[in-house]
Amino acid sequence: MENTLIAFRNVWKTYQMGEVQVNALKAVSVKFRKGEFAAIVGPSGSGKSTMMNLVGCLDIPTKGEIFLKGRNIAWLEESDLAALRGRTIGFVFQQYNLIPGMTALENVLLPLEIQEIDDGVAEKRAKKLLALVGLSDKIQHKPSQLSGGQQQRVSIARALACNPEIILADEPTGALDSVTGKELLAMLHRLWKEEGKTIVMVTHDLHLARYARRHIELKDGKIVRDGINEEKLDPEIHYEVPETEA
Amino acid sequence: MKTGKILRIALSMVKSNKLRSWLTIIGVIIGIASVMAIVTTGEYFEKEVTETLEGFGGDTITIVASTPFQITDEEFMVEDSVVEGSGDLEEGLEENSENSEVGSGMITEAGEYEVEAKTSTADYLEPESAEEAELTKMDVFTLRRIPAIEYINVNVEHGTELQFGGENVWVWIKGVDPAVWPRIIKKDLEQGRMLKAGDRNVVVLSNELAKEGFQKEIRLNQMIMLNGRSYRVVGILAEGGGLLGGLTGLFGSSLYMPYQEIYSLSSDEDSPERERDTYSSIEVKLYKGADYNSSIQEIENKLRLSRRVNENTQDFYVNSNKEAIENVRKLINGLTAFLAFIAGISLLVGSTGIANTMFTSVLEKTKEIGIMKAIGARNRDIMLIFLCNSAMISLVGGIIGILLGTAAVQAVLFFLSIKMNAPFEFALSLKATFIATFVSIIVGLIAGLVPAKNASELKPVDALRYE
Repeated sequence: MENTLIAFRNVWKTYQMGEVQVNALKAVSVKFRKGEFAAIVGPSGSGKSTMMNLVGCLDIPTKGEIFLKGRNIAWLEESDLAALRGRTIGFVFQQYNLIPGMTALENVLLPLEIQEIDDGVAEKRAKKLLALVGLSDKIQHKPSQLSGGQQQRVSIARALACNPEIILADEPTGALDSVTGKELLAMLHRLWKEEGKTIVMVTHDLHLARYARRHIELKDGKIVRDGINEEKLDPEIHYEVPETEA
Repeated sequence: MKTGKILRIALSMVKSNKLRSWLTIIGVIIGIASVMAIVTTGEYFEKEVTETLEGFGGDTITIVASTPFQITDEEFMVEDSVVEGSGDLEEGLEENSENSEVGSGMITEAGEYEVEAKTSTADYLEPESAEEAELTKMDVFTLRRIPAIEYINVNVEHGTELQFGGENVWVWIKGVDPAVWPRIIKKDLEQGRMLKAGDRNVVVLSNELAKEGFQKEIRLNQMIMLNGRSYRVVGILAEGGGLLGGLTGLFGSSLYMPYQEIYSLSSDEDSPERERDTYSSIEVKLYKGADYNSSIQEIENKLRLSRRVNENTQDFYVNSNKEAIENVRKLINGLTAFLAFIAGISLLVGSTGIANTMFTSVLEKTKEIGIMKAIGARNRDIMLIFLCNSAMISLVGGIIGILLGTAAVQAVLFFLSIKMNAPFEFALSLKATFIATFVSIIVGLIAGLVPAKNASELKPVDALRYE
């Protein structure tokens, strides 16, 4: 239990669709431990997105319990949950979800400002992270001035801003070309391997899922398989991580 | 989240849609400028009218002798035909009192004027009771015994011709107690000095008389002639300030001199010499803090006793401008409040504009709200961002509105000052400025409250899904 970051205990999530109740998740119990690289896979409508929202504490279950670092999220005050989420989880979304009116630097600074980190420290850290993802020369660019891959790298820098224990990636390569997608996966892989981050990736692409150590397969709202990925990582992957500042 | 960061994000939201923000701001500008202009103008005119009325006496209490009219329906029933055509009422009374019987006149066919005898049942006032009442030294002694009174000034008024530089002008002279008058007069001195005890053959002139009464300006220490006597001008009063300042000179007395000298002055055929130690009026000024209404009552009661009159036979009246000033002030305040209320409606419309903009903004920013919540923003942070956004819009509108409203007031006053040939005075109401600033912020906050609350309560998962 010590290493468990997120635990689902008999979690149900039900949506009301007009007159009909749809169970998106049915009695799901699962744990995500520190240092894992897990992929949640499954076909469309299997409950991946619902699971992703619950893992990210963006939603609360209809029934059952979810524990984030040992604390039941249903019992937390909104502000406490927001603060805990901000400190513990970094999000990488499929559509990047950067704030369009802010520059790359401001986007990365935002979570630090929300956590009321000292301005000087925050700026230094944001610049370092942007350098880590190879965007030192683009810090004053707004999202509209960046390519998809660059936006996703800003998104990763933002996810890392508060040094979270978990990186939650929702179809992170979904909007990227294959080369950029590989670059991004290499980056996530390095964060897992070198930085010891816990990565939870939601994807429908089994090819991508192969890079994860653990596979959780969903079907019709239920976990149908949860196991270690025995397949070796694709040797074709070159970790072409851009040069970073020391 | 720190306040500075919240303000920065709110500002970036305002700037992100400049056109919409400015259109909303214009709505607030119109409302605030209207309120500002109306309240400032109202306050300015209240001050002007009050000062003008105070120039006519202000908070001094004036006692004037007045012949009582004891006319009731039973005592005084005069046929319309009798009173019709008669001059003033007193004249009519005198005529009627000479004839105990009167009849209505008619012309016969033969052209003779016949008087139809008719016995009147009406009684008339005794001629004695119509005698002119006077204020005397006795009344001054009576007033001196009232502890609330600080100053007593006696006035003897008289109209006569003033000769200067070969011109004759009819002036209204006010004889005053030179020892007291300077202490109760509401006007300032422009040149020279006020009257003082022991003054003889000297006068103080109003600014209007000295400068505009004659073709040639009357200067300090020049001699003027009144009824063939020479008087030296020792003082010239200052001109009444503001737009209505000229009214004091127009309706007030224009020449002041020690009252003792009026008695010897008024000796021409048209106006018989006034009996010494009788006064046209007595002005009284109370000590600060004295109860105004009870003092007036006490003055009335004591004078009734000493003059041996009662409520019905009272031969004087106690007049106070204070009540008139209060009434005028109330009237202007009421009018200003009413107009400000009308202007406030435009402010209300402006505030609905803010609310509308904020709702649109919340819709537009829904996804951003979701992103911010996902990365740790609390409901409070989101709410404050949107509240600051609306407060900024209304505050900018408020500041520009205050400037425009003030400018509009100055333009109106400048135009009026040219029209009325009066000096232009800058008018700025601190009260209106404070109210406008306060109201603009409050309006912004209230208008932004519901949209901000809606934004803050969005579930991150729903907000992120919003397209």
